[in-house]
Amino acid sequence: MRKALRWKAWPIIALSAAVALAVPVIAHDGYVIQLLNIAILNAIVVIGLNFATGWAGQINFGQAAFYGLGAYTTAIATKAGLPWIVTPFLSVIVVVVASLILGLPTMRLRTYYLAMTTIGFGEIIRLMIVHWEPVTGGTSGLRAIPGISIFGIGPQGQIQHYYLLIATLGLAVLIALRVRNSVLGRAMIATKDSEIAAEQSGVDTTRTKLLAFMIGAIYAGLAGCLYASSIRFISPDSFSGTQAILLMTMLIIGGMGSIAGCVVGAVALTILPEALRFLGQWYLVLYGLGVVAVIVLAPGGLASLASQVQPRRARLR
Amino acid sequence: MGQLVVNGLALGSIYALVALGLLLIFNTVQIVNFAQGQLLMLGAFIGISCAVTHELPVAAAWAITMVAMALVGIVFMVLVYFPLRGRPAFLVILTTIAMGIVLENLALIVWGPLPVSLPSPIHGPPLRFAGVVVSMHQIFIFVTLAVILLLQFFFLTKTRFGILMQATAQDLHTARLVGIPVNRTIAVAFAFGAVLSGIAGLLVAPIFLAEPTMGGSLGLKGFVVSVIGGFGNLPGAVIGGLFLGLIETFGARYISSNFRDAYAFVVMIAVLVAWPRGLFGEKSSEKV
Amino acid sequence: MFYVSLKTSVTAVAAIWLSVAVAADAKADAASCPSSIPFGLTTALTGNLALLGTQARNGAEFAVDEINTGGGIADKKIALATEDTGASSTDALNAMNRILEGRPLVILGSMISPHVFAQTEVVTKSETPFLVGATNAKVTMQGSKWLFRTHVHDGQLAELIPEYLVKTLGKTKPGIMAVADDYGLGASKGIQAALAKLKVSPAAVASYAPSDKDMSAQLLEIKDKGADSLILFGRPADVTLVIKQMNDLGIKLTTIGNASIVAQTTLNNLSAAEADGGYAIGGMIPQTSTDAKILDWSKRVQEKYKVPADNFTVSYYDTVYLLKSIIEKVGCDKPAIRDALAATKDWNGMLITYQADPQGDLAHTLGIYRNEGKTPKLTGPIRESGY
Repeated sequence: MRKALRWKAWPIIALSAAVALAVPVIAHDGYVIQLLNIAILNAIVVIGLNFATGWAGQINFGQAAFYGLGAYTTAIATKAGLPWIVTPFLSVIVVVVASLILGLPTMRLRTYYLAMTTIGFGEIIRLMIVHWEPVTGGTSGLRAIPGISIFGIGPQGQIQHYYLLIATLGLAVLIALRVRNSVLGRAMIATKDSEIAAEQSGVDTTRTKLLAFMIGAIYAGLAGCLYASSIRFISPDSFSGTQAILLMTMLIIGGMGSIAGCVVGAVALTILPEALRFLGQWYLVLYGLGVVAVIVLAPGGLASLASQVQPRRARLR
Repeated sequence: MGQLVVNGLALGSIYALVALGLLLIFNTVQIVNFAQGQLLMLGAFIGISCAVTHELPVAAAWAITMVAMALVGIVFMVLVYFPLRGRPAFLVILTTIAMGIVLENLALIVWGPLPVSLPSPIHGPPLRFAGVVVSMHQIFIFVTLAVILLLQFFFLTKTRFGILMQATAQDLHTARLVGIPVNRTIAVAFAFGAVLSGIAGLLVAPIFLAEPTMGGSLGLKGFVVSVIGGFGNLPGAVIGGLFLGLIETFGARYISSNFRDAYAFVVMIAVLVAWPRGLFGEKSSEKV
Repeated sequence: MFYVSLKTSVTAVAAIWLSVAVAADAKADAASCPSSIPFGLTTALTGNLALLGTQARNGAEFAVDEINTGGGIADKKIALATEDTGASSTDALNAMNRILEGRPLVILGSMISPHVFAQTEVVTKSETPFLVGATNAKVTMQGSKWLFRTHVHDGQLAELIPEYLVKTLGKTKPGIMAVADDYGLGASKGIQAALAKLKVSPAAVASYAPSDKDMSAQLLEIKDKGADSLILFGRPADVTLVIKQMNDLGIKLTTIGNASIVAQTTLNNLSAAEADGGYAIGGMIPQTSTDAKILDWSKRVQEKYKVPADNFTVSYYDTVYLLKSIIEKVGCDKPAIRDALAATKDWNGMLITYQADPQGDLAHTLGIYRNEGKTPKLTGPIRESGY
């Protein structure tokens, strides 16, 4: 059945790719492209979050902190004069170490305790960034961050960044698909469904959870690297606890466990606040109510709504 | 240093009250209400609407606020608990966080962002001894906490309904099978949980002022206290709360005021690493 | 039929060339402005900085409405487009991108420095005059010739507050307490450097998170370390708590700080005994003016927006009028406006005069205030040396 689904999914994938590639041609202005670039970066972070939360069932409010660690590592390194090509590797090392520091002691914890610990982790990282002013620029942030440059060549302008980011997103999705269909992926989902049953079947749940955490952190760290190099200004408020909650809601609304859902959720919740700015303070009220509505009425998120459309079509045939 | 103890304990008492409210709800329905801080804020503003806007006597404001918060608790239960029964824990967490966002922003729209003060029910000059100043309001906070503890203990262990609530907390399904009016006990839990937060709000507003975003930080500290003390544990919440208040105050004074918020989390993580079920352990066990 | 004679084509080219030349000339004159002059404004209208950010909107909007009611600039109305930056700098950048879509003639930025830092590059690229109230000293050191600041900044406060405290008030062991955001920490650093130059070292340096409610630990530290005064830098909401708690603890220290100490929103929540004696140096506020027109303005602003006017409200109000006077002279030409801004000299605003320096800072006059009970009194204006 999986093969048949994949066959059915190709036209959708091709269509989305075509739409994605065509966007810069249709929408010339910088504002929309810039917004989409941020949305794509968010999507990569949310796909990362999906490993730990969507598949392995480990709630993680620290994803924004990993995002920030990647961004700050990159910014500090390039401003210190290191060549850009080094920064993705540096970011990965930093977030892997951070995810181990967070993950190793907490793998035994139950849901609410894990949630609180990840919140605490995020807050401690943020405080360190805010108060380590000589290195991180403190609350003023870091600006004039050098852009992406490999042997002197790099994307210029938002449209070229857009294509680079689309390609990166594609790569992120492919890797995620590979993981899902691998032994590790199945172990993650088994852990989420029932940790005790998984252990009985020979799954090392502790190792699985830790790996899910780490891979998620790597996704966020690399997205952070790209964020710093393309937006070229970072400050602690872009990686705060509020952002962590926002990433979670992107995952939930898009559809936990579904990679397409991650992308949809990220794009939707990046664009929506901008499109609905005219609502002023009411936007956040509606956002909160919207999240509650989705959780209560469609806990599988938008992705589950989409998959409900397909069986009906099959029946019509 | 004595002053640090007094202030730390006063702050800790507030945290303990928030944690007690969280506990009551968690014990009964296994839900951690991440909007508990916003309920505190709501209590403060309802009190201010009565006492300041409508110029009612403070005692009346307190009474009205407690009744109103009980109703809020029940509405909260209907909106959050019933639709989410049986759903995984983190969906519940996110729902309550979202409700918190709704409450906070509605409050911003209704009451505006400016901080407002609430008069304390107690008046009088502060006590001074041994170089330490204790205000009447601080004493009022300690007394209120003690009274609530005693009432809660008495209610849960000595009254019939209280014992029914404990039974529901231990095993919901069996309780229902045995004929315990489970829905009623849940409603009472939510109502009381909200009232406790409302009282915390009324206690906080005279010293810290009230503004719509006040709930976030206080709520978070309440959760930390619950984690340190272990969910489901009355003495744990109180000791944890007082402990946290002292740690924060002493840490800010002697280590660094920059990282004050971090001390709570560091202690919490340290406690969890050593005792994954909190210092005093949870009451409920994991269902296989 | 489609043959065009040489004479016709030469005439046509000459006509086109002439009209372009005339049009170019006509730009230097307000009558050539579009019928609706586009102004852009980005500021925090929602989120935890809204209490501060809305003052920019209040001041700018009030000025625009006044000008439009009076006929506009040379009979052309100003169209003020406002975008909400929210609380994060990413959102601030998006808001700026949106404003730029409307191709505004000038843009007013907010007083929140991280947001302005995020927005500067894209505004500079659009070659639009960018006027901000952001107070971090480094904002005008970014090297953008399109960015101007029309409010006093932390660099000036950092120099003047220690000087006043040491030389005029005669205190030599201050404790420093600042809110741990860009505003407070930046000022704290500057103040420590200025104190070092005066050969004074602070008894203690403390900070508190913006959402903190209990600052007693920090106050006790400052008292225990033998401070004889307190330098306090925060926002009205938290400064209120610090002053209250200082009183509750029985700590009596001469307090001096930024305009928050004399702000109406602070004083509304303090008793006369608590507020009395506090000094503030900062952007000038309208409430202490002896001019009946200014007091009336302040009242009308409060009636309209339900929030008392503060130093930023005045600054943004002045900025709009400054732009009006410039546009009346040089027309709707962005480079000309920029040049005129850079050449500003002795332009009279509501409470201070504005003068451009090479970095793009136009405000060099601060007010020294002291609370008598719950009423702030202006002790006098001080001008930055050289102005």
